[in-house]
Amino acid sequence: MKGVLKGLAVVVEDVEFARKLYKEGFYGRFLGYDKVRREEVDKISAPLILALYEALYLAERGKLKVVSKNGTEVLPEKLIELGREKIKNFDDIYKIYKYFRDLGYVVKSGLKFGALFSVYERGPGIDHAPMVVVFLEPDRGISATDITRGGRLSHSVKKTFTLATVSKQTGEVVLLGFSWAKL
Amino acid sequence: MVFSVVIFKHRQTSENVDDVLLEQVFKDLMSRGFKILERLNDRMFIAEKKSKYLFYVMVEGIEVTTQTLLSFINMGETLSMDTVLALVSNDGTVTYYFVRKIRLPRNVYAEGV
Repeated sequence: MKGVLKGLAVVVEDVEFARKLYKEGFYGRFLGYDKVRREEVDKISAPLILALYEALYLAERGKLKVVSKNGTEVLPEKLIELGREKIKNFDDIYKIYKYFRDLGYVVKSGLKFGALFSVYERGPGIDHAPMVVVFLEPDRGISATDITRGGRLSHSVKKTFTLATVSKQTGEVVLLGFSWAKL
Repeated sequence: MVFSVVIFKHRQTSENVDDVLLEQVFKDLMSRGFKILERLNDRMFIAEKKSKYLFYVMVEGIEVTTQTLLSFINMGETLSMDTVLALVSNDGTVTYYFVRKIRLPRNVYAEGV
């Protein structure tokens, strides 16, 4: 159940445990592989790299014990502290991560889509079009350019994308869906 | 000196500049066979083609708060109309996007936890 914190990510060396995490909800990525299918997992013997959000989520649920390089436990509070220190809007972004995960969705990095997260129903390599989620800073307004830019990020012809923000009033996660309208 | 006067004048008439862009939206919609039914305020209106839509005009470079956008969407829900953002470029080209609040269900494909 262990993972070692190395910088801003957590490495799971135990292959059996790594496979279990991946099968449970596509947590992490096997070093040297991408979009591994569930049925291929048992053939893979590589360390699993968990993003900070993933490690924190799993640690909070008691499914992962994060340790430092010298073996001492790193508690979830410490991971949060680290995130806040290094990552802009960490609390809001983690809230959004948690929101999707709690509803049973697979949440992966959105970097290659130019977005915050890519969200899957079945998982990467299975869903053809993930939900592309763009983060909207709560204090900022939204402009026409934000919307067309979002449209450019998604692959689908219907140009659907999702903006996620955390309401300042209620603290709730708000999702707005945009799709190009051919009127 | 002359320059600053021009800027001042421009500022005074900025409302009208906005209106020209708004006008482009109306023109564009009418060319697509829409009928403008009702103007709710200077940014929001109802137009119809087969069904009725609630429109909100967003001009390039002018931000709106998330709250404004949400109340627009809520109004659409109240009126049972699809909500459309009309994005107008600073020179008057119009692009349309549907916007709605997403209420995600629990993922039916979620793997056993």
